[in-house]
Amino acid sequence: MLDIIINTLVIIFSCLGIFFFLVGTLGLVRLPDVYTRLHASTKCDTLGAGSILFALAIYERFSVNGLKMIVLAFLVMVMSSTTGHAISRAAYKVGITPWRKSVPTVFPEEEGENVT
Amino acid sequence: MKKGLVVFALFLLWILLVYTVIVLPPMGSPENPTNTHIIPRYLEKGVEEGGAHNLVTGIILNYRGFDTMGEVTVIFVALTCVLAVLGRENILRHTSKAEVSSVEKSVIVKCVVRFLAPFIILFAFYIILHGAESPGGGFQGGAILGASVIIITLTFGFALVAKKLSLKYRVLFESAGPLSFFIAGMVAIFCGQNFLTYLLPCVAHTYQDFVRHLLLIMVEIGIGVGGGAAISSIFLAMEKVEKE
Repeated sequence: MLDIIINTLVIIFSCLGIFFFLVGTLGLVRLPDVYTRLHASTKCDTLGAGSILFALAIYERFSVNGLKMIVLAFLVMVMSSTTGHAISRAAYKVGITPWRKSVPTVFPEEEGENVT
Repeated sequence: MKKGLVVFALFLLWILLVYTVIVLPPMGSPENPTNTHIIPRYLEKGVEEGGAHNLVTGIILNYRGFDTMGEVTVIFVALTCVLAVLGRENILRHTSKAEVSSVEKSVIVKCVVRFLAPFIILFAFYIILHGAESPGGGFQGGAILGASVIIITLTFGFALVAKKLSLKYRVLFESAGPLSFFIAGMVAIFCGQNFLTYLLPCVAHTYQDFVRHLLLIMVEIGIGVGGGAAISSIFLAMEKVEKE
């Protein structure tokens, strides 16, 4: 019984991780500018790798190796989101304007600027 | 005329290289000397003769000790060339490109780096010291050590790192790689063995393995600390700009 529960949880979490990796990669290829791409690709590391590592930790039943996975997931989450923040901040300070075609009414004075 | 000579010399070189390629043993053939006796020897006796449970470390530090010593010297020479061209940084005269820029540093990045940097340095030393037992070793650990210095420089500024890791100490650390190899080799010579032999006959038989392990770890620490100091020195030399 316990085996079934653990295996189900492992399958659920790894499928979730694979889903986030897929979505993140798709977004990296398809989205228009730096900010939206970062928005997609940081999901790969935080949610994708995080949930796959969590699935591995459950698979190891929180033994010493499993706890190492938890620590790894924590480090990956902290570092990946920080690098995402740093890159987007640098892009903003350098002066890359966000893609605004989708909401032309919010910033009417700067419409049509599309820097990729 | 000159052009013709150059083309002729290149043609001769081309013939020589192509001839070398032709007489090389065929790719992946089971009769190659590497496959017939070198790899079986490494696999069967590598752990015992190399003195490290990690076979790779045993091979690169023991069987191919001279080769690794050359690699360490290459890193040292690269550092020397960079410093010969760019010159050392001077805290009083120089500042960094990151500090000249008008963008102030992000609080989030500062906070995370302050939290993570000790763990990165700890991990680097773990990799250096554990190289004889598990994957890792001096080169990898040294790269992480250098990367930690770089990330601290980028977030907390040139002046802090150049002061804390002052030239006085960095000069000593930079040459640690070649020096540790040299010391290990000379210890072997003084004990009546060949250069870079870690199994010393002058030590009592029961302690031989222990002494060999100590020497391997000393060389690993030398490579790691030397590589890390070289990377950080190259980075600081490239980062500096003149103060106005």
